[in-house]
Amino acid sequence: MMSYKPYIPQTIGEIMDLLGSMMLSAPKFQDPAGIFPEWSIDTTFHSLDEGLKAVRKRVGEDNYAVLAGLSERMKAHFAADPEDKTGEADKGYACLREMEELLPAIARRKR
Amino acid sequence: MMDESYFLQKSSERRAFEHFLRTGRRPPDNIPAKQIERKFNPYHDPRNGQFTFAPGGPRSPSRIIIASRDGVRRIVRGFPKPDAGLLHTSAANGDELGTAAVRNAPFLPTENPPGLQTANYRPNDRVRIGNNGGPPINDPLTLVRVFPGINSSPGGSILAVADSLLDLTGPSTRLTTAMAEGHINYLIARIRAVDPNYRFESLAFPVTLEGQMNLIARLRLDRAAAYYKIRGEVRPLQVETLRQMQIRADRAYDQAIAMLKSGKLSVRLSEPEAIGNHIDRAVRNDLNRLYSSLGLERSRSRGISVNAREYNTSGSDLTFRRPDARVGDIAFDVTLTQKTLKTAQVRGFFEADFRPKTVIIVRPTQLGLGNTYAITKPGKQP
Repeated sequence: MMSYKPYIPQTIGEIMDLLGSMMLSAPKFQDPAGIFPEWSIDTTFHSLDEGLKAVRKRVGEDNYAVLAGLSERMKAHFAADPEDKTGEADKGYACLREMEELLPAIARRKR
Repeated sequence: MMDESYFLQKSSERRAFEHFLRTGRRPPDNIPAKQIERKFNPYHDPRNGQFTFAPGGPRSPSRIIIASRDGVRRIVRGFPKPDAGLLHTSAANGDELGTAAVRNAPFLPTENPPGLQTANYRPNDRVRIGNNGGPPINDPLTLVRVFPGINSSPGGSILAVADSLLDLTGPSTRLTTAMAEGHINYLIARIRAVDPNYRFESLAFPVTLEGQMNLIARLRLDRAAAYYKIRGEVRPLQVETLRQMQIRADRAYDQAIAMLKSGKLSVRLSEPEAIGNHIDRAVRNDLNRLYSSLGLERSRSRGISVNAREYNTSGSDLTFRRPDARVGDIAFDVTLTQKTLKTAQVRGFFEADFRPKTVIIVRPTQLGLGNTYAITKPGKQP
């Protein structure tokens, strides 16, 4: 098979798509179709973190710091509860929703 | 039904000759006076033992026609449910055949338990002459085979997707390991014919049927990517894009419903809107990820894009539309609602500068018959 190349979102819209996909694939973040075994919590958050870096200038340093912190917390919550049983994953979902609301608001303010 | 006494009256030579006529084989030396003969039927539904119909047509497993008690024929949409009793028994016994193997086993009431038979059990090997590997695996390379008549239909036609393209619980699940291995080797050979530098990296051959099907799906993607990158041929990628969008829309739909029920999906305007939004976003993101995984660059100039602006510069005002995906001259849109040429968005796709030949509307299979379809370009076809 061809070697795996990670996907890095380049726009806020693409990050929003990634968050929408994460909402449905959390807390394990595996490929829902099972075709790409390489997709995991690590590759997914790598995409998110690198995507946030790609829009760093666009969102501003302060907002970037908030978003990066949310991403870090989100990953820790989901990693601590991969079976969605202990309640930690719910905190991860809360972070995800917070980021989903924050990003468009930031984009609107920066226009 | 033939009278048993008539059968017994026949001489052994006569019975041997009749056996040869039916089977093309000499009978065993000690042929019994009466024996059960069984014919192989590839369209025997393994889950409930009933006969089913050939794939690809209107009567294939996803559209079964049955007779009800009052004699009225009615159509059952969706796939028949697995026999709960069989699954329950096997699973309760901790039998590993309790999953895919049992579901795929042919129903043989007088034989061993169905779990002990492979999906394509063939008591008479002359049924498939020439070791051709059994029923063909549906593996279209162009959309012409996915939407029959797409090139010859009048402008503005709506064409249904060929039934068997994504018939995942139909013929595909009757794959045996040998057939899967054969098809995997075939796909690798095809990719290497296009890209001699292609390296197939796999730790081991998948044991489960699901793993084998996933590997086939991945190799199809690799083949489509090779055709595109080496030969500039975009048509296989159009087919695989459609296939992936459909699979992922179906999964995302199930996940979104489950999330909604558990209260984890945030709803703003309405529940369908929330579900639709999440499906759109999940499918687009998955497409971006899989194109990246395949090393395919997305850009309008390369003819592959995901949720990118497709401009229409023909008017005095610059306008644009955003198809969920574009591959060559085909636009794809994932949606829950039915869209036709009357939909402004679809007309906008056709008016975009890249002049799509076809717009393909992808809707989750769970929405029922005719979920996914193609709309051909309005006007006179070239």
